[in-house]
Amino acid sequence: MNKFPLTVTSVTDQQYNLVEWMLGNTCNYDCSFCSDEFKSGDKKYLDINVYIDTCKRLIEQSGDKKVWFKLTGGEPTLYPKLIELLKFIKSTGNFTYIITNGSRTLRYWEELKEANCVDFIAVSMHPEQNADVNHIIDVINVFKDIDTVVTTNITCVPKYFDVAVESFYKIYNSCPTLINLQQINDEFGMSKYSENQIKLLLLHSNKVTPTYHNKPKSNIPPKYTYHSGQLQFTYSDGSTKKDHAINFIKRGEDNFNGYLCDAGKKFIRISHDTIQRAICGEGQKWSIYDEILFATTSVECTRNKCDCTLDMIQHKKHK
Amino acid sequence: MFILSILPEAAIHIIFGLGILGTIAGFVLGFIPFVKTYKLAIQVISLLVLVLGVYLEGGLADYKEWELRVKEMEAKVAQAEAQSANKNIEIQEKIVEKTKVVREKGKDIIKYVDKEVIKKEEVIKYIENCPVPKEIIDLHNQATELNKAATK
Repeated sequence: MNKFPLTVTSVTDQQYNLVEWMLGNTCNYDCSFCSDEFKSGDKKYLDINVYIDTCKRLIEQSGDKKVWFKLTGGEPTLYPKLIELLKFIKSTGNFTYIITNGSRTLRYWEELKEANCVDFIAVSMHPEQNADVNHIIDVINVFKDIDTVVTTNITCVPKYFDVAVESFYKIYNSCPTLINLQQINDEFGMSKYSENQIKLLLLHSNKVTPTYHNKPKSNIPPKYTYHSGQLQFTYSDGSTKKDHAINFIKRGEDNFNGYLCDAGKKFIRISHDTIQRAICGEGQKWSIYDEILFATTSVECTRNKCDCTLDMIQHKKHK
Repeated sequence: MFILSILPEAAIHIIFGLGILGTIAGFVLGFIPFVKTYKLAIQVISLLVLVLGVYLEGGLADYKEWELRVKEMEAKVAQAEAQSANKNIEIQEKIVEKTKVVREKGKDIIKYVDKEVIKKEEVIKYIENCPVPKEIIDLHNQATELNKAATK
């Protein structure tokens, strides 16, 4: 009989819970690759007290663990109370992460810097939306002398590929950031790119810009950035295998249909006010107005692929 | 274009040339007895060959343009990396004024960061999807170590 995995466990114990929260779906951009779910504007931002109360309960229910709040949209900086919300989260000793298109004025970013309330900013620059590269450079430079980690992803729609590459070099030579040309995959992967464009995408991934040496080290304790993506598979014959989640996915060893998975116990995704388990969203959804916010039970997987690394690192057990 | 990878460049020019010659023969040299006999066939085949030739020549030109762009981009990357190295050298020069040991340490860190960046290219998808990307925060911290080395 062929051996099969009995359990899948992250090699490092996750010392924090993750909450990825789409606060609302109002956005000032209309990217061709972004679905209406994230830009139609039908999910209005909630009252600040609702967000704060939910964050409080998420933190309480995490017990000794810290919570990483990854706030997205829409464009989260369009939420007028975003800085207030970030300040609240930081005041509780937890961690903040925002994904933004960086389009707000420099005055806004200066205010955010002064508030000292964000640990990680992922700036997405969208050439397709005529985003001004000089403005993006100015925004990144606002954070050049503080420990906030700033990454820059330049979205590469094939039609605007040249502009994206030009922007890459302008940013590369002008400010401290970890910079990446971001491929936009469709259902066929990278099929819409030419071979040469794929080469360029690989050549321009996750570069440290030359001026990076001026930035201070991040103050996030290593144990709270600890999940390394390393997994251990324990098989039915007693053998074990350790590897990075992405390698298990590449080899197609990611079918856990029928397994009991802990997705949702440490990682939830909130779409406005609806909570789901991890990225996959297996099982029933629930609400931020419910009493219990993190899942307390495992869910039986019904999928044939677990193709997100974050979902992969959730503990899984053969039934 | 797949066919460009198997067809030699000379063959494309020959197809194009034959198309032109055949078309000229079919439409202009009708007074020659042989051409006169097969005039229609020569005209049709020549036109088809000419269309194919134009198509392949166009594809070849596009392919060459892309090749050129890739080379330009690679040159830019090399230039940017050289600039990066220059910056690092500037830092190291400051360190030399104080102590050789610190300079060596700075060099080691630079090499380490470069090595890490290359390694990271393999895990792009992971980083994209990871809300708390350990790799990125580690990379950030390693990059900032350059500053420490410079100020010691």
